[in-house]
Amino acid sequence: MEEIIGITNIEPKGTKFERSETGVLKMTLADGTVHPRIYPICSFPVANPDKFISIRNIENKEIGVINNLGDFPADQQALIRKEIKLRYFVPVIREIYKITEEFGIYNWETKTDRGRKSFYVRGRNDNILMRGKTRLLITDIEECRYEIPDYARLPHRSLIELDKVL
Amino acid sequence: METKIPDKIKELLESKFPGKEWLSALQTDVTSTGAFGEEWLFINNEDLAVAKESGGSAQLVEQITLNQVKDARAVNMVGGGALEIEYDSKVHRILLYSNARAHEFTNAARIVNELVKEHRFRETTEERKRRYCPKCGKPIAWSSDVCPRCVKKRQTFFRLFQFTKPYLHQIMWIFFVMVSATFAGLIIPYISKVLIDDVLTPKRDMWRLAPLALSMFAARAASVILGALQARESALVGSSTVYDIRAALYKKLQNLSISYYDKRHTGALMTRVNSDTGEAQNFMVSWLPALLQSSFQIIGIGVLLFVLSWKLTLYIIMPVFFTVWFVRVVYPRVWVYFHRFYEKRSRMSATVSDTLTGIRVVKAFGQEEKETNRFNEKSQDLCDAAITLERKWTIYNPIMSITRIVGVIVVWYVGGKYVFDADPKKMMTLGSIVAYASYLEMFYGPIFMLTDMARVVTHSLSAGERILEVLDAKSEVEDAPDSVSVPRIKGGIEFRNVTFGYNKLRPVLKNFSLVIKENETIGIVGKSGSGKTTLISLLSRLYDVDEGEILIDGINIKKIRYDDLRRQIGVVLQEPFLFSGTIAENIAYSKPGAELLDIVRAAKAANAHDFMIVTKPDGYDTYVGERGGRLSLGERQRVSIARAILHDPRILILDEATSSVDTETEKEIQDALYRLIKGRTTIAIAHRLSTLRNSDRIVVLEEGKLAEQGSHDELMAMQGVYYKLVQIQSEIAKSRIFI
Repeated sequence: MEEIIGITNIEPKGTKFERSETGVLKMTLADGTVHPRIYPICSFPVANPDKFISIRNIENKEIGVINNLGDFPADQQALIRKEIKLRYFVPVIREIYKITEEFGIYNWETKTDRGRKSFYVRGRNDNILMRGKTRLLITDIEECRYEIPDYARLPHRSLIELDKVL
Repeated sequence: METKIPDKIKELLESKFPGKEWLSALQTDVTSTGAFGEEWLFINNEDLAVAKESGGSAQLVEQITLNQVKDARAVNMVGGGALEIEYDSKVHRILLYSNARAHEFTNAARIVNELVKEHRFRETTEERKRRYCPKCGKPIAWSSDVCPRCVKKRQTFFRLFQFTKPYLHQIMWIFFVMVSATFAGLIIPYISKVLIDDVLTPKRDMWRLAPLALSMFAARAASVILGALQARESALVGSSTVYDIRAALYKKLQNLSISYYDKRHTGALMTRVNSDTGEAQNFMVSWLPALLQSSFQIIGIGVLLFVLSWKLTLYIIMPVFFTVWFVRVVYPRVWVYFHRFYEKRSRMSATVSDTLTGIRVVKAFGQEEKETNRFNEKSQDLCDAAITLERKWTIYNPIMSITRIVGVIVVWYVGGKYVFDADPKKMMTLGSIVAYASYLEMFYGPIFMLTDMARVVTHSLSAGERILEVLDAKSEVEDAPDSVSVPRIKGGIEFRNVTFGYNKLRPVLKNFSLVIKENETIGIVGKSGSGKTTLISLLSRLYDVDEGEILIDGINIKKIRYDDLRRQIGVVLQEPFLFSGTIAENIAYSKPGAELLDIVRAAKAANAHDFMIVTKPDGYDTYVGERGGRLSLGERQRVSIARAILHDPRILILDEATSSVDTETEKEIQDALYRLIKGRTTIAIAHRLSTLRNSDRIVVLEEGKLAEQGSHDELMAMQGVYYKLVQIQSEIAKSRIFI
């Protein structure tokens, strides 16, 4: 089956990820092949970020797929996760200080997992998407994306602000 | 983005690279750990440096001499990207950025590469998509380049007003009627004052009762009739003005070049025609007259209030100000709930239309229950929003009414005291108080109106500005002043060193040259994105080339009159676009008023005649539905071929469909195309092997360059790019037979 659909598994056994001195991720496979520069890409970045992570080379060709990141040793997981975090620049909003509106543009002042950020969002319809029951994806006018994994768990004050735009 | 380089970093650069001139200084918004923060990239002729400031001192993060660099690239990631530089045969990630800066760093990577390879770089003048107002720096709304904050309100207003010029007569009349109506409305409370003070209180002159009551009626009637007259005239002037604006706007949109459309959302342009002009109509028909009327009323009532009792007027200033504050500050909060309610409603209807249009799929997969639940969820949301709205409304509305009543109560209480006052100078009559109270009640209406008006007017004027912006836009493809008329094109075409890109940073065609002889049939093949469609868009002059030139019969197409060019170039598109109307109308689209015989001939040649007569009860008068939706793809293709045959162009552009139709239809289309191609210069983006075999010459494009050319047999013998493409095609064709 795997042969037919052409998915190459990257097994935890024998695979080694390293951060090279140049700041990029390097992968050595069990058979000794070295890929000096790899990019991990999530197949389900929102729902299942740990499953089916595609490992690609510099030409953007798939080398193989990590079925479940959890199967890898902790230090290897951390390396991949860090690379994924750099790739997916989607700050997680932890707190909303204030949302103000002027002429259909909303100014969000927030605290994210990557620091404080004030950004502008056009309207409310298309740029604030509800995924599932509690997850919110927000796109600002620069096309930067922000995430609120569970809005019910924001501080009370943030909820009042958020209420203005939902 | 102009941001000042921190002094510390400047000093550091000066000490590390003394006397160097920097070509480029760019700031990122993300640090190397992925957090929000600043780092700086500097580029000069020899070096590339990344610096940052931390803990009050500057430090150099990266320092690379350009002659070591092999390649620089901006890697697109999600929500941002990374600038990676290859040197020492290793790839170094030197900095990260968010999407906000992606454009700048893509450009930076290009500059580095050009400096490395050519020791110079090209400046780009390309303007970035405007997200911020160039004047105030604040973001601007989607679908517009107009900043509502910086709209030159007065200028826009006067320019829109120019459109009312033909109706100057009516406007003067409206003005007169409006003033009269306001005046008539203001008389009534005054008559009641006379009635109370001179007749009812002293209980004398009973004969005056009837004339006073009658004059009250007359004033009321006059005010109502004049009001109606004014509304009629305003509607006439307003609607006619907006009709003129809309006509001007639509004409302009038709004349603008395709590149104008590329830079904008079609949706946004539709908004301009539909809702912006609607907004302008509202303004002209409803708001502007109301604004004028309210102003008259406020002045009139204000004066009367003051005359009746200036002291009482001082008392009621407070409640009036409170009302103004309420309308300005509190009222908008209720609006939020209104908005939410409308939004939930539109989301619900979106769900309904989504599901009902896809009902076949829903049934096929047996998902009726899931869809019902999905709908109920949205319906529940709407229900909740309605309840919340009603709850908020029941708080705000009573407060509003109470505020209004406060002023009136003050009048009765304080004014009542004045009635008892013995001093005749201070004393007020009962009639004055009754009149005063009525005037005050009348005062609130226009106050609401004017206060809320600030918001409405800003809104309308931005709409007006957006309309003016389109009217002011310049078409990029225009007739040159020295353009020549070419009534009959022979059909020789030459592309001479043509370079073009939709985005000037990324050319699609690179230094492309090709000569096509008269009546030659050229098949163009290449992967998607190789520049095939661009080539034909340039030939029909939807865009103008960036560099090089395109010649038809030896004349640069920029010099050929646009109308002549268009008339003699015919296009059959991959996805044939039919307009809603009958088949006959669609065939005759390029030649309105064509003879019926010509239409039938064209249809016959396109193999469209038989299917129409046999399968369509209405024959040529069959209504094709929106975008031709009621015809099958094969039928639509043949109608569009008939359209091209009737158009009888000298140069034919054929964008062949990849989508498959059944073999018999395919054959009929082939025949039709063959008849169409004969005797014209034809450029075909070909997918069918049969078309390629019939071509005099095949041109293979690869990444915007000419890779191979020759006849089918020559190219097959070369076993190059074309050979590979054909191999893949026949693989696909083989597999299709088995299906």
